[in-house]
Amino acid sequence: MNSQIPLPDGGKIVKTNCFECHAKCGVLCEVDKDGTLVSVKGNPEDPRSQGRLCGKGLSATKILYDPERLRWPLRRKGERGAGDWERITWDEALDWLVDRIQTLTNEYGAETIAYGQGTGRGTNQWTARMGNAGGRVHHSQAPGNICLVPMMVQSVVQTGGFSIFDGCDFDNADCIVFWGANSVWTEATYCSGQIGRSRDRGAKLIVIDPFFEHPLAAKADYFVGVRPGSDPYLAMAWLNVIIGEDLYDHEFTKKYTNAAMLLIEGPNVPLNAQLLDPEGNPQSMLVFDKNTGTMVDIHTPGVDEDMDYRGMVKLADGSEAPVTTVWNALKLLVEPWTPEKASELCWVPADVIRDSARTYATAPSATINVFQGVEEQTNCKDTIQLILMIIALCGNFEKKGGNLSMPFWTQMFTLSGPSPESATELRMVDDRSPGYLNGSGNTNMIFNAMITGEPYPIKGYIMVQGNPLSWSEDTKFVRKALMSLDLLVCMDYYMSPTCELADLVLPSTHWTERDYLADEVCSEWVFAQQRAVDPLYERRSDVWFWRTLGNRLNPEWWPWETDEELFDWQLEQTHAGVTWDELKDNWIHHLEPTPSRNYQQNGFATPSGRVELYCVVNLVAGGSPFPGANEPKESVYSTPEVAKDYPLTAITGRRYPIYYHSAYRGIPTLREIVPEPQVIFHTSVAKELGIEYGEWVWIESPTGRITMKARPSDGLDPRVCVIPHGWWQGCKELNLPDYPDDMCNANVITGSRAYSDDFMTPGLRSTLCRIVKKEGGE
Amino acid sequence: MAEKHYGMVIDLDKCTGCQACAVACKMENNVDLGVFWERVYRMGPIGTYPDALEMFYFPNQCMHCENPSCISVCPTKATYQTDDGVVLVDANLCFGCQYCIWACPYEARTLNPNTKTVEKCILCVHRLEKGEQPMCAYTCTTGCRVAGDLNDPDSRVSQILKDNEDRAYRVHPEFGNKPSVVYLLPRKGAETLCRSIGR
Repeated sequence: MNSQIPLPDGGKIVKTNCFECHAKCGVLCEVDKDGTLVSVKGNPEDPRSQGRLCGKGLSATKILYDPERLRWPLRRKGERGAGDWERITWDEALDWLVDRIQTLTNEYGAETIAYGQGTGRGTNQWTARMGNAGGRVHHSQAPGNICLVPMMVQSVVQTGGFSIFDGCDFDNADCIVFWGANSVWTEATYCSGQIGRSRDRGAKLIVIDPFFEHPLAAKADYFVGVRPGSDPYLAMAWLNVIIGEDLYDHEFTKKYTNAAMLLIEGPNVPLNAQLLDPEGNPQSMLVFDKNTGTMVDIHTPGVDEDMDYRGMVKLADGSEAPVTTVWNALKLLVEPWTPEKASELCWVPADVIRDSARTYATAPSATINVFQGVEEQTNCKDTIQLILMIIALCGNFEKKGGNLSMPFWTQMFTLSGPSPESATELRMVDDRSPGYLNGSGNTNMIFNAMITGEPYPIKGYIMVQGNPLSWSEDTKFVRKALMSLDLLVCMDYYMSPTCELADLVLPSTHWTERDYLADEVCSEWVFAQQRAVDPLYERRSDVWFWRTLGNRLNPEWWPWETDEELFDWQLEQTHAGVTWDELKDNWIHHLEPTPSRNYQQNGFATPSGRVELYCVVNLVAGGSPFPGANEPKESVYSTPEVAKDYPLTAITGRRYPIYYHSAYRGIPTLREIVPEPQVIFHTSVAKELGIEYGEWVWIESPTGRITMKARPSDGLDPRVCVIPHGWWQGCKELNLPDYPDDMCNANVITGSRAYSDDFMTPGLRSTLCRIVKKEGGE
Repeated sequence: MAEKHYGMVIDLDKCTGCQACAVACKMENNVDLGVFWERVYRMGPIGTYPDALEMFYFPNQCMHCENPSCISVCPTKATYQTDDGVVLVDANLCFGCQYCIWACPYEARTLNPNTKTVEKCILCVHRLEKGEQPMCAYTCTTGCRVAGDLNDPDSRVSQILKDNEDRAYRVHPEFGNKPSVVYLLPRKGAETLCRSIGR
């Protein structure tokens, strides 16, 4: 087998992929003749990472053999949360679980069970399949609303693909933009080396981030220190400069966006063919053909479209209406947003806005990497739509050095299976957010249903690699919800705070112990993420668990007898063109590019066949087809009454390069690098409050209060602070204690008062708070 | 053929402080907890937000000096220099007096509390001798570190130094140690901070 190289002493090198973050870098695992994992290092044959590997991946042996890891299924014996467990077998665990699910389902309906996960890194589709197979509704009690869904769904509806994540062509770009993204720490190996090389050959770098300690900020040609959550103003101003100074790509804008699409001026609704003629197709969007002087369907070939068209039209009902184009409407939309005006609201100097926009727009090719700084905001849809518009107007889609769509993202949806018919009716949304573009419910409402039974009872919650006490906003509320359940099941590496409250805790295999496919966030490749060693103790993989449980409950949905059969089905559904056995033999397989890579021939997979500046799908879903310059729903400007007492705007969730969310504080070789949780705020604030470096301080918000150590810094606006997440675990070997009762948990202070209309995203990265000096004895 | 002179170049303009080198060093050399052969420091940020700020990351380890001040103070000759220019400690001879720790201007050495001997970066000589990069350089997520023979004008490390002469800097030249680890200074915005490394 090509992917396993025997060593002279009886050991072997196994080619596989790390799973410590989404990037899934290729690695070489050395296993000795007794089957012990000896070392892990990067595999130079991975075309993305080329042998580079971060501290998390390098720690595989420590994580695999960490004595704190879960070893076998545990069932609760005493009171919930009391830490009294009995060890049981997997057969007992599954029998018991199937019985509990069926009992609850009989009494309350299948909708009473919520299925969820943390950051799946490949299980998204299987968790969703569990929920869909239940037959009533998939709640998706997972952090999709703050991670991936806004970015991916808005991209797909607007451009037919997803190209602002693992599709950034850093290696060939003349200008690289990180917008609310710190990928050189979070997915270091698919971008850091590329960025270094590109800068050596003169590529420009723009970092849009509130924090100058972003590892690329000091190196950047432009550090754009945006106020957290004010990105729509900045993006509007970029468009203002790009359009106003005529820096856009005329050909791409005219031919490959829906700029020329006709709208009825005023309400800005599409002038569809049925409005002109009762027999016309309501889904036919129109453009004005300069050659013939007529309005024709946007898909008509050989048309000289008039982007600037304005006129009156007689509608089928006999009335007259003014008609304009998307392009005209867009120009009106961005016209007021001069850099000077945006500067007042986003706190970036106007000349920095103007110069950075010019630099991006005039680069022969440029790529924008987007992530959670933009996503975890109530106005995430606006910012993401605006960024996609910027990329389109500058002609940087599907272009060498630009943003390239990647195959997996548009093919994963079939894996989850169809949503049950009752899903729409049973989906939990409320006045805070209709959730136009997020098919699942508002996680906060589902937690509420666990407590109150309204709108209907949620009695069970089953998750893999999920720790909602860490990922969800408003931790105290989540804790109350979990305590109210009849059935809580967690599959995890460690006894996390959420596991502590569970009825059943299941031990998950580390990536070195499990077989799976690495396809998500792998750009244009799929890899056999094969096990290097046999699973230790009674650990099983998350995919094995979903498949086996699914097979017991709904065998028609889960017909596969082995994991390998499921892998083959996945590869077939995603048109990978390879079987599991072939893939395992070669380790790596190159995928066919998406059709839109050749968009001149195939177009983009959207209703218009083009990149949609005016997004018809958003409109149909109930949202706004154009982005707005919307303030976060809770902020210093939108809720001054809150800001009066809580004047700082906090970013929660800033990453460490050596931890993954709440995991690995217990690995001593990592923990000695970052031993304690530190809240970062401006030096002048520390001085004003009389706070010294390293002092424990309170961080308070309208939702709650936590404590962390103070780290004053010059590198941020005095009105902003930075709060890391994921701190609960101690480290025995270093004598560092646990942080019990959510005392250092950033989400204790984040609120559930406001969400994105489209994606139900809370404003985690623009949380209002204050720093308070502790009095003696506190 | 001239003798080898092993050294390393570290491009501070590339380093993102990801700490992969520090972890790789621990794993490769089985370095004990509390002992650091490789550390990455954040320098700054200092200045006025948002446009008058300086920051960079500084990976620090033994500089494998041509004139090492650790050798002459060692009473047992435990610290020595190989013919290839690598400075090493013979743990069998070291009895933990720590004079070398005081003498080293680069804070590159630690006393191992378990063995009571002094430890530091060995430039992964066991890998260099096989033609492989030290583990810190092999794994570096940014490609900012490259090791090799400084005496060989065709080696990659020599080429990088030649191409970046204007940014090449041996930390704290005032001590006269002539480090074999050469840094390439950040391309922009680090004037004040560079004073802390003797610039």
